[in-house]
Amino acid sequence: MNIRSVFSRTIATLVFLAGVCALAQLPPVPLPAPGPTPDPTNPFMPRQRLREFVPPPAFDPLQRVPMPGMGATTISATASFDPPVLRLMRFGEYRVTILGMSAGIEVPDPLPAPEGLILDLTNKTPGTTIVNGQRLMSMTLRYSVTAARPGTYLMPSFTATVAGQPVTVPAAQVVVQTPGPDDLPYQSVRAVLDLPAGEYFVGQMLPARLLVFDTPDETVQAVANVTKPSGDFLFQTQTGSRRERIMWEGKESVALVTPLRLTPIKPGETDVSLQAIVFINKLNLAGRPSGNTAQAMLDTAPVRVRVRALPESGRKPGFTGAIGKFELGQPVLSAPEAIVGDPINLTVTLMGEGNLEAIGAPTFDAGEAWQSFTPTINVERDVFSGRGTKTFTYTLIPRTPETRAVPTIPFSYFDPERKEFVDLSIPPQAVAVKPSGAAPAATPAPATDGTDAANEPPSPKRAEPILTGLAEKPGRWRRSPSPIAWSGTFWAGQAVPALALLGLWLWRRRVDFLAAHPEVVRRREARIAAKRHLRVARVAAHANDEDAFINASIDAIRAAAAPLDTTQAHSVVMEEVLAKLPRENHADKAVRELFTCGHAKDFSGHHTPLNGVTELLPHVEKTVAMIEGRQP
Amino acid sequence: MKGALAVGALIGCAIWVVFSLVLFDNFSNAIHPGNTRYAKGDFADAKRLWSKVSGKNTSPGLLHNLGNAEFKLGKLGPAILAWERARALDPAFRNTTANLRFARGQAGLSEPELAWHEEYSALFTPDTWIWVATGAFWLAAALLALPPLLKRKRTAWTQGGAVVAIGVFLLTLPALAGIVARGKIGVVLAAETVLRLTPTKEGEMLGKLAEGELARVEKSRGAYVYVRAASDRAGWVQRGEFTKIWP
Repeated sequence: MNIRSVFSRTIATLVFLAGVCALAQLPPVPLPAPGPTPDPTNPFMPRQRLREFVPPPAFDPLQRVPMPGMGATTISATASFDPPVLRLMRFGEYRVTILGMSAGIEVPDPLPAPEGLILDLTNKTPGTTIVNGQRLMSMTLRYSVTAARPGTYLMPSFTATVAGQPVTVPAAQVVVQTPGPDDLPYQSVRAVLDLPAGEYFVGQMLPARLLVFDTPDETVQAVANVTKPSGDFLFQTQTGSRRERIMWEGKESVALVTPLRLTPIKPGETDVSLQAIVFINKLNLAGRPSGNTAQAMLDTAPVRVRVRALPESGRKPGFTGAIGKFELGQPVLSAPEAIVGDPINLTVTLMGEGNLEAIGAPTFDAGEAWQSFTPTINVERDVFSGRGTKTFTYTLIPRTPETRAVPTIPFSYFDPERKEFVDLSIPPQAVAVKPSGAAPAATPAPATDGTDAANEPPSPKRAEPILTGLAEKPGRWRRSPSPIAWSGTFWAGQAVPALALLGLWLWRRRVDFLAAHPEVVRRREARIAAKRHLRVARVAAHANDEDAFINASIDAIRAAAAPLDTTQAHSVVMEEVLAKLPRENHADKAVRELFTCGHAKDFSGHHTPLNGVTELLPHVEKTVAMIEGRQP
Repeated sequence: MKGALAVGALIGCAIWVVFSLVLFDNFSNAIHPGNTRYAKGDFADAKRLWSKVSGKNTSPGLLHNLGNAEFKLGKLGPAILAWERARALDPAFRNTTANLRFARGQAGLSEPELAWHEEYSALFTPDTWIWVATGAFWLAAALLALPPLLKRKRTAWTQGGAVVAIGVFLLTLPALAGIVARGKIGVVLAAETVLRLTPTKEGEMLGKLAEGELARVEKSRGAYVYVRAASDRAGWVQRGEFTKIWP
């Protein structure tokens, strides 16, 4: 081994050792974990983490300050005022946000605020913030901020502690200005008595509400100690208020609504107003509660109300002060049957809107038949709708077995809308009353045997004088108690005048028709005349009176053949008759023969033999029928 | 010929008058036996006698007395039915109205609620209203129709008469409607008459109606009628337990 090779080996060994030492100084490079090939379409597959790009931090004294000694993107803090310009007497928000951690945060208490700047911690809000595509935990501390005087306030930087490590919260600045003329004034909550205008009546329960409206600057949390400082009213507050969105003076507003019960006690015009203590939460400019609360005594504007006394006229029995709109539920008897001396219950339910609490129980007075006790009363009412029920439970004891029902209990109420009393009497309730074992059973007949006078008041005996006597005269007799219209005879009788009028109308139509068509009349008269002449001709033929036969036959033919105008039948000549007959016909021959005989008889001046002329009677009848058949 | 006809008509009228007088006398005497029995306290016999008469003909006095007898016998339903019928035939007879009020007060029954046109129709007897209405109607029709049919000139007299007749007819219309409505009213005859859900003997019981209570018939099926009493208590009842005032 020569020196040269030994030197070279030594150099190589040193280089190897130096490389090994250098490798030992480097951080270990993790091997990629074995696993499936990343699939970008599968959201459940782990993805290769992208290399984060961290921009070089820019200096911003009012914004983020990196925590010294820690990573630049891990934990930091921001601070800001919202809004940066604030009006005096208004509330803003001072926000401190810790990025990178949401727990273990400690800030100085109180904060090192400049003099005149008032800060109050309202809440802490954990959250997440995306920074450079990285989701970071955060915690936002919100402080309400207001100032005692105008000016520019610099909230200095201070150090918070996050998980034991100090974090610098940067400084922030807010400008507080005096409100300008264009700025809206501070709006406090206001209270209003909601009482519809109109006439009311003494004793009526008015549908009133106390409304306390929210404003952009304040919101009402609760109402307490509502009192009535003025007005002749009985006043009761209802328990419970609720926030509602209501239309008021044409605008939709949010208000805390407290129902009230106002009852006027004196007629006349009066002002009514209310007073209440309200608990207020002041809002910042973002409309969020600033954390500042206050109490205030609010007065409502007086509302003028006209109250009238209940009318004296028109009162109905059983009025016990009920004013409103009511309905009566179905009365319920505890049992359909009762025994003399045993109590049963009658439950009557009154429903509706009105002064349910002030209504007296309807008076039950059934004389000797029942014994009654003061009813128990139960009122249930929905605070907001005002509707409710009042239940009267009567305890009744039947005294006589003749009792058939719980009688009508008169009751009425006054309807302020209709301004009249309305009858709402409780209808009778059928009940079967049986005699008790100790008392003898009484018959329905009025006669009593008097065995137990104490238990059986002589009510039937007393009833007898009230029942009127008999009718001495029977009155008008009739077949049925039903009205006459219930019988078919009546309606048949009604057909008589109807038919008479109908007949009269038809007659008038016929008369008018005949007046417009005289030929119809003439034809009818011609037929009648022809028949009359034919009748004479038949008689003459039967008596072999040839002269009379010829005259009657010619008259019959003429009457049948006379035109339907004003032409007289006796002026018709033979040619006119023949014109209405077919040529070379038996009728034609008969007519010629008759007229020839007639002319000879009338105009020859001597006796003309007329042997056998009466045998023409069948021809004459056929001729007359033929001529009539050929007439138009 | 005309003289013979006149004599015949005269004889016919005389026969009719005599027959009517005899008949009236017979019917007038018809209630007296019952009255006598009633005065002696024999209500059942009085009722029997009056019922026998009322089977053929009836009158307000007879029905009033019959109602009294039924009431004395403890039959409130038939008593109220008889009195209601009597009152319909003679609304001016105050004793019948008083008896009805008395009986209802005794039984704890409320007075029937009638609509305004029903109250209006109760001012006179139904027959009075019906005859006035039909007379006015036909008179108006005749006065309007006869002049043109007879080719006569319409005069102020005929036209005024027609207007008056039409006016009278219009005034009777609410009463006629009331009569029709009252024709559905009936009386519960039996005590504790059961209102059923269905017109069957096994129908579910909805409630009960008191004897003598009034109800209105709305429909009928077989042996049952559907009635509606005060406070809208409605259901089916057996025909035998309920009778209309005007059958």
